[in-house]
Amino acid sequence: MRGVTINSQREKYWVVLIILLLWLLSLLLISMSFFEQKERYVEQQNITQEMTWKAVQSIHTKGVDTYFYSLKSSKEAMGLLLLAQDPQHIKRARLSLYRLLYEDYQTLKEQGLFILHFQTPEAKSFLRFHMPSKFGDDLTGVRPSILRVKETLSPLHVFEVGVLQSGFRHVYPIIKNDIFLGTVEFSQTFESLRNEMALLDSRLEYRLIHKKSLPQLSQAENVDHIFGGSIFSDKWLEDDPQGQLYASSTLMSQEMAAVGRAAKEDHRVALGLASGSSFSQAFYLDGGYKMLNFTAIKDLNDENSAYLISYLEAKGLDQLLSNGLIVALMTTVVALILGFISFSWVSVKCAQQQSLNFLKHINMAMAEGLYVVNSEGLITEINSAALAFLGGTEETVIGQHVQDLFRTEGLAVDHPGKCCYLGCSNEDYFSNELQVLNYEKEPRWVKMRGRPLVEGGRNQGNVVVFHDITSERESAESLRIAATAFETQVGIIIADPAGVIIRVNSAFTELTGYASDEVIGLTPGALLSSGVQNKDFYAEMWTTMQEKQYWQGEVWNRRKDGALFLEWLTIDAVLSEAGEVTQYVGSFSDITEQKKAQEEIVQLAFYDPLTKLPNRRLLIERLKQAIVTSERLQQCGGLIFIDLDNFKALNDTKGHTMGDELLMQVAKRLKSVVRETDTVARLGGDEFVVLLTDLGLKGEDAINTVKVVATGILESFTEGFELGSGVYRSSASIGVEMFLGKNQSDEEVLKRADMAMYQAKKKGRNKVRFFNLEMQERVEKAQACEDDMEVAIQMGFAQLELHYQAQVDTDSTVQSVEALIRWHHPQKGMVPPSDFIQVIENNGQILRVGEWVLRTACAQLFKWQADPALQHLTLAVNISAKQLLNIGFVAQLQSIVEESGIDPKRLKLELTESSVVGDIEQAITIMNAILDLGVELSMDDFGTGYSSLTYLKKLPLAQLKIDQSFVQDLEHDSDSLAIVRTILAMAKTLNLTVVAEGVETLRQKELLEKDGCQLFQGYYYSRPLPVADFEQLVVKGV
Amino acid sequence: MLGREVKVKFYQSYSDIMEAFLKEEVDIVQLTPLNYIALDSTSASFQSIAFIRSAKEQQDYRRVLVAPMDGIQNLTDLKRVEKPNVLLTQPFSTCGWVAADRFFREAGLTLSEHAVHYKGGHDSLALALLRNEDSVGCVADYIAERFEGLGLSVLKEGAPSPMPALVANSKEILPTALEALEAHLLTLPDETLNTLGLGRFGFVIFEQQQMDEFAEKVAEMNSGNRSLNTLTSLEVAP
Repeated sequence: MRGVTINSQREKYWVVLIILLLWLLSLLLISMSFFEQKERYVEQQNITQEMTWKAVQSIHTKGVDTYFYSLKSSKEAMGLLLLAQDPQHIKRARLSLYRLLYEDYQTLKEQGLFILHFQTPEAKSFLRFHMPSKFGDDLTGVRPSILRVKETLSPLHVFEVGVLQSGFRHVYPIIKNDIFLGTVEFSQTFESLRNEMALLDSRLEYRLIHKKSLPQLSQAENVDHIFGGSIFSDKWLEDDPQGQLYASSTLMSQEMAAVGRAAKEDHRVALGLASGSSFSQAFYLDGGYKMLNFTAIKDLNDENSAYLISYLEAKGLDQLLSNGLIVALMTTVVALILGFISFSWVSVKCAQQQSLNFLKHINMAMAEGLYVVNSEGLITEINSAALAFLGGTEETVIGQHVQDLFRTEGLAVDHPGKCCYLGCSNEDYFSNELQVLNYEKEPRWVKMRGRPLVEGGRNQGNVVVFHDITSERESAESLRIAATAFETQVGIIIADPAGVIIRVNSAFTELTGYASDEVIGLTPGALLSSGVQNKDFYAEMWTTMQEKQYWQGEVWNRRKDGALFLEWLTIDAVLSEAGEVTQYVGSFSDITEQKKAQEEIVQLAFYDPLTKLPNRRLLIERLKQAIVTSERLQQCGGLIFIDLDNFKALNDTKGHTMGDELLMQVAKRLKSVVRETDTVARLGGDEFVVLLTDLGLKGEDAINTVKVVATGILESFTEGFELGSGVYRSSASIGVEMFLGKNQSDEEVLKRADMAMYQAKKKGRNKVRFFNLEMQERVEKAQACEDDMEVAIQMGFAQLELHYQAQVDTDSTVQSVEALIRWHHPQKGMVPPSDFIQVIENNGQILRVGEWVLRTACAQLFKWQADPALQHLTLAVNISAKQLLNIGFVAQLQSIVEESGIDPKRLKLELTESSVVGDIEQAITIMNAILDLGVELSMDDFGTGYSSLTYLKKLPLAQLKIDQSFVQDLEHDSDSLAIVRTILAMAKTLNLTVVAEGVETLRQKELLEKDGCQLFQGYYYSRPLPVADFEQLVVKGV
Repeated sequence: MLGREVKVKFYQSYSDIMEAFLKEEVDIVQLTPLNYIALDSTSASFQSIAFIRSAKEQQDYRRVLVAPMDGIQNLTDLKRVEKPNVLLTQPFSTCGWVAADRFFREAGLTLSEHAVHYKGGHDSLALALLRNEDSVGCVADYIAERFEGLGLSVLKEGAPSPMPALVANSKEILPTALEALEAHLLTLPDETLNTLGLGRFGFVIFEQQQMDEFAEKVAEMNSGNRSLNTLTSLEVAP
């Protein structure tokens, strides 16, 4: 922003100084004028007095001349003077002359001629009318004027200082008939002169002073009482200062005496007196001007011998001074007024300038950008903040159009035209938040506010203020988030360093029941303490706070209503820049329910909800820990795997409630026979595990201990369990695996125990079996089978092949065929299904192998459908339980059927009982879906499981296959025959076809046929054959 | 010396001086012997300081009866004068009525039968006589001597009288200061005396005895004539 920097204070002082100088100059001029006028006045007075002095002299001279010539014409007087030349008559002549001229003398005195003095031709006093008793004295030494007249015989008019009388002397020679009779002197006393002059100007007071060095004074005797020291100078004498000589003499006035004393101290007066010239001097005394006019009086020798001094109160000077003072006063007043006006004006201007400067500084200092645009939108003023935002300098920016400075390229903004930058709108005031680019092309949010500049009713432009609010918006967002966070569901306490609460949020109120105004000023401890935690707890909390400025943990507190609640409390110290704690922020949430839920989760996660025993997960954890401990302490441990015998039957017959009840009682019983430190866990179903630890170093002792425990468990089962209203007797199969150190993993230990249990179960149940090597080998064999099968699968099932075993009717005609898988192992040769089906069933490979079988079979069936000799055949394919229950099996089947192009009615899937009894409802659903595809279902190995008429009715079967174990015992076991007959009866009842498999003899065929069996399968007719052989068999006949 | 500023005042007559002194308007005055006798008869507190000489080497002075040289030559001629008036200085002057009356009585005349004019001072009296304004006059001897050259003649010379005295108000001025002033005045050198107006011819020790003797003579003269008190109450002609 442009502007002129003015030191306003200095300017004011300059104005004051100029006014002061002008005032002083005026005063100087006034003073000079005054002194000039004063000088003129003084000079005028001096001239006036000199003129007066001369005028008085001239007047008197003429008068004296007249009298003298009158005297000279007096014969009587001349006669007496002639008589006086005779010493014998001189006395009489003197007396007579005295008497003759006494009256004249009186007249002369009245005219100021006090002295009428006749001298003899010898210059001796003859008759003094003013002092008749004194005569005869020689005047040659004291009266040079008389000698001069005697010498020149000419009249002489001169001021002369006399011993007795000083004054203007008129000396005439008296010559009668060429006889010099002497001289006569008329002397006008100074007093008379003074009176004369006073007549001219009564304001003046006159004094006469004589030069002290005059011979007539310095040599005269007895004149000290006449000539006093002058009050004007020590070098001058004053004539009759005390007025002793003449009655009419006036004493010096007090006023003149005062001025005289001042003059005596004034060197100018001393210089003037020494100069012998006339001069005047003014003195300012007692509030007025007094003047002394010194008129030089010359003596006979034209030398200054006296001064006529006049004193007057110089009213003219007073008037001049008064006028000067008035003018000076007026000038001062004018100067003051001008000064005041100027100072006020400058002050106002300075104030305005200061205000402008201040505003400028404010503008420059203000964080807000400010610019002014004219009506054309051109920048005319801009401040630093605006320049900092827009870039450039005042010189480069001013004059640019504002729209060229606020850029929006690349911004997804749509500002309403250039008006927003001009700071105007249709209304007077404009305010908006805009996004623009700063000089670094960074998008910034600015808030613009503008007002039009209106002068004379015309819009001269706009002034616009803007500031970058990007940070404010971010801060506001942060504040909003912080406020939201503060008012979150988490209770928040803000306390000062002393722990006194200064703020809480609404969640605090909700969680504790205390309103904000109830807690501010208190400490959380005093407010919420539950007493659950002891002092050590809080001491440790604060120790941690001081060390780490942070603490987190669970705290039991008490609500306002007295209820305890558990909170998860986090305390953070807020530190100042100096590292001092300024606040503590505590946030907490009520985790009472969460804690309960967690405990429940833990319970659910690690404990069996039914028996409250540790579940498999917890068992595994404890087993791992036990193995580690065993390794560290070299202590043997043992794992007892317990599986209830016939538990499934109980569930099936008594329902799950009874089964659950049994499981709970078993759990209690197991816990009753082991140590407190031992772990009793339920793995699931009817499987329990007991983990025994710290069994000693010796393996035999440990085995014996475990055996005792395992046996004890079996024995505990001998006592019946009270289920419902009856007593249920149950037994268990127990497998045991011992471990020492980390030789085995937890999985291995559990697996071995499981295997041992399986062995026990296999050996007739209610037994205890310890894991052995045979068991190990079997496991390893299964693993090898799995690995080899995987290879076979990966190789495209080339090692696998389907053989077909005919199913013939009573006429031995092949009606259908069962596809049976064969594995041509590269090293082992042909591997029977019994050696790998169970393995791949367990490991899941059955899904991929089963699909291959189904595809291969369907492909073969499609081929047969084209062969008239074979197209009547129905092909049966075995589907394992996992395969059936696998999600997507139905879709897979549909796809295969459709892709192969077979008649689905020629395809029959053989299921096992185990595949449907697990979840019979789900199985029925799947089976119905299969039926919907047109594919029939057959129940394989019927009779070996838990087949019952109840669920058999529910299953959408088309066929039953009597297990070969029953067929093989038909001839010798009545139970098997009875079972077969029952099955055949059931099938007949349910309208199912029956296939008897494993028929190896004619007798068997006859027995079966006798009881209604229509289809037979077994070696009696044909063993499973490769496809070509089977086709030939069909063509040739069985 | 007196511890205060001294101002000089001039009065027209001795009666004015006496009145001012009695009113304590002035503290030191010059009094003729007759004035002194009058003052002495009052209750005023005063102290005499010194006699004042009126002429050089004067030890006393005499009153003389004078007349112009071309006038009467003796007292008896007064009877022949058409207007034998008498000029006197002042009523309180020692050369006044008392002295003239003595001369007239010695001449067998009665002063009171003659017109008396007071001229105020010795000089004016002498000049008036010289101008034939009156027939005779009574002045101090040194005055007569001074105007002798102008034609003044002494007809009769009287007895000696005390000189004028310098008298001070003893209430206003401490006696010690007055004593110091007296000692100072009596020992003034001539060069200092020449600077003075009054007393320029010097001072003489005051002797009360002279005043007392003069008072007795005045009393004797007044016994059959006018009392001193009456004299002192006379108005002085200007």
